[in-house]
Amino acid sequence: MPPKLRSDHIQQRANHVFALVMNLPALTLILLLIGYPVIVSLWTSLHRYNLRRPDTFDFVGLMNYVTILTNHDFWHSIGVSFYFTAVSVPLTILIALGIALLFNQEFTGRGVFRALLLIPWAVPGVVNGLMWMGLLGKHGAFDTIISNNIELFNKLLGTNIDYIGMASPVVALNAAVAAHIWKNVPFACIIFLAALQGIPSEQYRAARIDGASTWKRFLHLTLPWLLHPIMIVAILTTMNSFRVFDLIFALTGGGPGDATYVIAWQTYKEAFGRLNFGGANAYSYLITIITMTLAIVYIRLLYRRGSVQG
Amino acid sequence: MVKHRIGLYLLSFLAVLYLVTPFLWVVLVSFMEEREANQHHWIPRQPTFDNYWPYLAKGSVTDEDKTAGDAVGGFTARQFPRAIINSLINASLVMVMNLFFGSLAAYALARVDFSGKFVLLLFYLGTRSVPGVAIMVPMYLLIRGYGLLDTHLAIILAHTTFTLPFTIWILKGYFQTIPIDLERSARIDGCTRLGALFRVFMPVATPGMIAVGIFAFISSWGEFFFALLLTSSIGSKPVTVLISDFAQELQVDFTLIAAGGVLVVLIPIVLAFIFQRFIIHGIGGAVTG
Repeated sequence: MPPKLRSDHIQQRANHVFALVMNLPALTLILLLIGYPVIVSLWTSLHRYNLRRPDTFDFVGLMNYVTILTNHDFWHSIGVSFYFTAVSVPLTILIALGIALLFNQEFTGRGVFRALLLIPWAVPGVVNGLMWMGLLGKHGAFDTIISNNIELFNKLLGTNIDYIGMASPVVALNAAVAAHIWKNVPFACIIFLAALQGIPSEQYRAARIDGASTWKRFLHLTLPWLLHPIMIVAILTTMNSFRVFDLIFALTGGGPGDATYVIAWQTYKEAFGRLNFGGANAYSYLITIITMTLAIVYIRLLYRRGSVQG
Repeated sequence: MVKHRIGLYLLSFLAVLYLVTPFLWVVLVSFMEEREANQHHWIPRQPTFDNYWPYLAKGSVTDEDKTAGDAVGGFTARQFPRAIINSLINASLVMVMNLFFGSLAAYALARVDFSGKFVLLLFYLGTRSVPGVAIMVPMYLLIRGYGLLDTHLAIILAHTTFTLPFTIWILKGYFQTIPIDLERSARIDGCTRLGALFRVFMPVATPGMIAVGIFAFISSWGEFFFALLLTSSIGSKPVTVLISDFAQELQVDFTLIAAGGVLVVLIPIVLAFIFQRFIIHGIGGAVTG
């Protein structure tokens, strides 16, 4: 609060004007480049609009949505995206939590370790995709390791598993998930590290005096402090997973077949492959609705904990 | 206790192995010849710098001067220095715009009581959840309508818009950790609101500003989707788009792509290392604070 130099009423009005003016540049930009397109996108999604016939712009109501919702392609890409998200979010949180607990300990060389932690974060998504393509593609380093191990596995157990690398839908999809997790771990870790540092050390001392075991200390002391940051990481990584595009573009191109057609890739193909702008906008809207719903669910959970300040 | 130490180092080493190995492999391969890379061992037996020369060759600034003499991928490689400059320009301006617009908005949200504040916060959070791909068509048409396709400005606007909500969110959290007495005493000394903001508050808020600034820079540097959508010529193409062009060219040696990958990652990694402390404390602290 600024000093009370004026009467409350005038002060309040001044506050409003000040806040509005300060937010104006950011608001203008966001409304123009996100708000306006979101509305245009809704409008276009209600029309038949294909760039192959750019003069046709007929109002068709919800027809684009009906077409999509009754189409196998949509449900397939929804399935792929949900799998992608459902696997990568919990694993990202678990791995990041583990690393954060480690790097929160005091030991010599911790600074170097923490600096190295930022490497995956600094690698752009496209480079990440190309990198895993190299690692898991034909003649890649990881590819060789895996196929050698499969051979050994087959020999030992007498099984006959044929490892065909990225040509296999299962391998390709899970490779994309692994690459995505690798890139997203550092950011989650940064948040967890900060949260761990915020835990008052007296509480640990007290718990230790009470004779609580390491596991008990983690469960009853550390974990409750981490619930809020875990939720924030969950929100951010869910959104990231649901809109993943650059990684898929560089790593699999949606293939093999349609094994890695995540929803963002499907939308991109609808717009720039088939030039069906009406349909693509309906896709866009469905994605927005899904991510918004997920965000609202998370935010509600967050607020129920009563730990976010306005 | 000693046992505990050894376990700690062992686990930490495994963690670092996980974080570093994939990219380390790219670095190692970038110093191999293609023939050697195909034998999949890790340490280059005859380290070579050959994969880097094409990138450092005389730069090409137009799309027209492609020559028949260029090796596979060589032409794209020659465009690299220009793409690096493009990315530097974009990311730097995105950083500046984020810091300026973001700090104004965040300051009001952190310090001033006004009705609608909560709605505004939710609005910023909500716009962050709109996926880029969901608004690509109208965005593309809008940018084209203003004649901005294939310009730096198009990318800078798009990236700034998509990074701003996060910047505001983080800065608001960071600003709230700064004691308010600072500005209060400045105001009593006769400073105006903006005067107090820029002369007293901002200097104290510098660590947080550095953190979000670096964050915005690296986000813009690594962004691919809008860069792909809005650029088409080397006049404005950033590195992320150029490196993906390699993947489209047939039969480019992976070792050459690896060297390109290393060059793309160089600047963000150096920045992340230098500002490591700011990033971990600034971003993490503000989110959890």
